[in-house]
Amino acid sequence: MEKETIYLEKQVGRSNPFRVPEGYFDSLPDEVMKRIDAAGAPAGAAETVSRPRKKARLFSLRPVIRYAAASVAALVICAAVYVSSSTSSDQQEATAAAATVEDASFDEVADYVMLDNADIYACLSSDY
Amino acid sequence: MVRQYSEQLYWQVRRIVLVHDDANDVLQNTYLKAWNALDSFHGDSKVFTWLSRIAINESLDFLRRQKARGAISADEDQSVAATLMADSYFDGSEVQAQLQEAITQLPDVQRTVFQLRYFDDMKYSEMSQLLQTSEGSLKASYHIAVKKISEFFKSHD
Repeated sequence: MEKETIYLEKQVGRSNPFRVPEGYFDSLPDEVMKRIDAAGAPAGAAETVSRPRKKARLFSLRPVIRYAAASVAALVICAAVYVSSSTSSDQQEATAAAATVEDASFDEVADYVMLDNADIYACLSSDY
Repeated sequence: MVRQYSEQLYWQVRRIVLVHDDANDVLQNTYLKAWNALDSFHGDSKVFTWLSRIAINESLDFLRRQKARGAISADEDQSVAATLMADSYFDGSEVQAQLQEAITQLPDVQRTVFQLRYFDDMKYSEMSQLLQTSEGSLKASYHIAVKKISEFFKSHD
């Protein structure tokens, strides 16, 4: 610490000599809100205070995505159970079938609900 | 936001404007300005830093308006210590009042830097974000401010 700062500290210290009326900080938030209300909402406050919203969709995509994902998961689980209960030769065929089902099923579900990648990404990244 | 930051902001303002009623007005104007400027806050700094910047600018604008109205003259500056000693919301000693008088004689930037460093112990990196000035300039400002205040006290000894 530089010597002038040390000199000042010895002369006056660093304590706060200022005081406030009793209860000032407790009542301050209410006073501030009163002043803001009295000043009125700023122009465009409705748009500026709230977060910008995406264009409204006709229906919410997120439940459909969940339904689609659940369907795919169910199909994969069923395929896995089928595969594990089969013989080795059957297993090879079943594995190939499961992979085909796995690959195809998601695409089919996506086609069924008429989703494309942009919709899926937008839905997953948006706040609901 | 008001509850969370008001006390810290108040003391930053009060140390610049000195009088409680003035600090209260400046602080409320700060929140009003912040409310009106919410759309300009893009999260590129902490909320407190953003609010602090508004508060300090409001405080310095207040002082400039006071000076422009002739409310503070060079002669009146000499009696800042006496005014503070008579203020019911000032509990300090005469030496502390003289310190405040010495601070009022500093240019705005040095005054602000001194307050933030000496009383708030603010790091230069934080101050640089707040005042949007390089750390080197801030260190130089603080060094000059401390030297001037020390000389003030030595000359009044």
